[in-house]
Amino acid sequence: MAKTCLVVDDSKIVRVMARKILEGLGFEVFDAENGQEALDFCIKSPPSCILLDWNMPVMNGLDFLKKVRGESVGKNIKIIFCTTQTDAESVKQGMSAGADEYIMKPFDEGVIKSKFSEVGLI
Amino acid sequence: MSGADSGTNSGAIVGEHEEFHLRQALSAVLKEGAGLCVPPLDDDKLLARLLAVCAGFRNRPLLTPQELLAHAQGERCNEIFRQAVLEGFFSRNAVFFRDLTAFRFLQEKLQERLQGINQGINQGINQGINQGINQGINQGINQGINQGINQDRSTSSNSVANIPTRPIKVWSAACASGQEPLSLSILFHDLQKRSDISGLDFEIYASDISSRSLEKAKKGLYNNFDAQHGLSIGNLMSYFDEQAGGGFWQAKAFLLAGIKFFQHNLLHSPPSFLPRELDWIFIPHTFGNFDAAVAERVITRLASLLSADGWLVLSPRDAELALRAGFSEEALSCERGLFSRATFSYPDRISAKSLASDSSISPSPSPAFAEN
Repeated sequence: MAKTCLVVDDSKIVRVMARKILEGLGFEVFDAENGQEALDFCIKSPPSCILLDWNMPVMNGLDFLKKVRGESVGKNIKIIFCTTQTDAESVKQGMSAGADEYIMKPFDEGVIKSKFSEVGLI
Repeated sequence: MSGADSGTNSGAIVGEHEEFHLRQALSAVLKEGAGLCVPPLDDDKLLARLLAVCAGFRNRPLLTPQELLAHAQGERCNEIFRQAVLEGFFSRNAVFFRDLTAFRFLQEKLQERLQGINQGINQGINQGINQGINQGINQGINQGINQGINQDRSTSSNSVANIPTRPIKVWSAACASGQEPLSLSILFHDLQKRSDISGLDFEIYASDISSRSLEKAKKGLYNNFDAQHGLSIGNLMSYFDEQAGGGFWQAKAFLLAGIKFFQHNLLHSPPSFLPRELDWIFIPHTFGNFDAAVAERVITRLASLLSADGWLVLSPRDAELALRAGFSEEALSCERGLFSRATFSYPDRISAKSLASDSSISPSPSPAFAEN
């Protein structure tokens, strides 16, 4: 069974690009436009991993991360931030909130491969 | 022109007043200067790169690619022009921990070696204690205890002194913009932090043909994009500092301090300060664009610089070159791209003596550059 990845980003371009890369790596890909949509998705069918933007309307990535980690279904999902919040303080904040890895936008296939490999997803 | 080979057939660029054989001329410079082949690009792209090199000579605004290549080769070669062409055509995409197999293998070997040393120290201490206690029993309890304690100290310290704890010597022989030697430095520092390992000392040497790449490597400064290629966020935060203003990450000073950088063309003899008994030489992703005969000789020379239990790290695709350079089939069965010095013997045509001499490796003859 293919591993599933939920791409959470309010930018359609990023969602399309991430989908293309992740499908190429053998993932079944789903997407959500904000943290609330992602949370609803995770409660119904938790994915193997989440590629998570930070700045989004309705519910941002950091709030989503805290909420999903509080849910029993969210404890074992590998979550990788993928954001323009690239300063060291934000990185610390994101990792403390429970992210497994951190991607600083812009990214390419090499970065995705490297980070997903780092957390044992590929 | 479309395909990579489309320019090979014609190879002629027609200018206003002259025509010159770009591929032929460029091939001569690259081969003579660094043993390289012309990259598989079409003529337009090659010309664009040459024009970019010409543009770098601001004091020679009218310098043409023809002039540049003419002056960059032959007996009356202008070293500055030649170096500029080599820099323009010798670029590699560097990534942290790019060859994971090699780094994992290095880590395993180091653990084995260091745990062996620690085991030796513990054995020494235990032997000292037992010897001391036995002598103590024979010579009287009080005296024995004293002697035992004293001997324990002396024996265990002798044991420690006798254990070889020479530094691990590694050379990143084509380090590009520095990600490989920094990855090695991170690996060594991580091992030094471990409680079950002590006595790890290391020397990292890093060289590249390109002065531009080497300057970048020495700085250890990477933008967000480059910094995260191959580097976990944990390593980035532990071993780099964010630059004021953001967007760039600076390798910590102690990480860079352990690396000795120097400019080096692999066709030339290594500098005298480079140890002749290296434990590891890393040079993957380098020989793909080399003239095969030159690459073989370079690999043979690199093997001659390894200690008896040393390892050469190449790309898996360099296996054929490595075999022709003197490694045996056994070297390949171990790990892909990893070649043990123990399986190496000098090919008949090359002697260890000839490699030890202060000689440069000559490329096989190139077709002469025809100036039309």
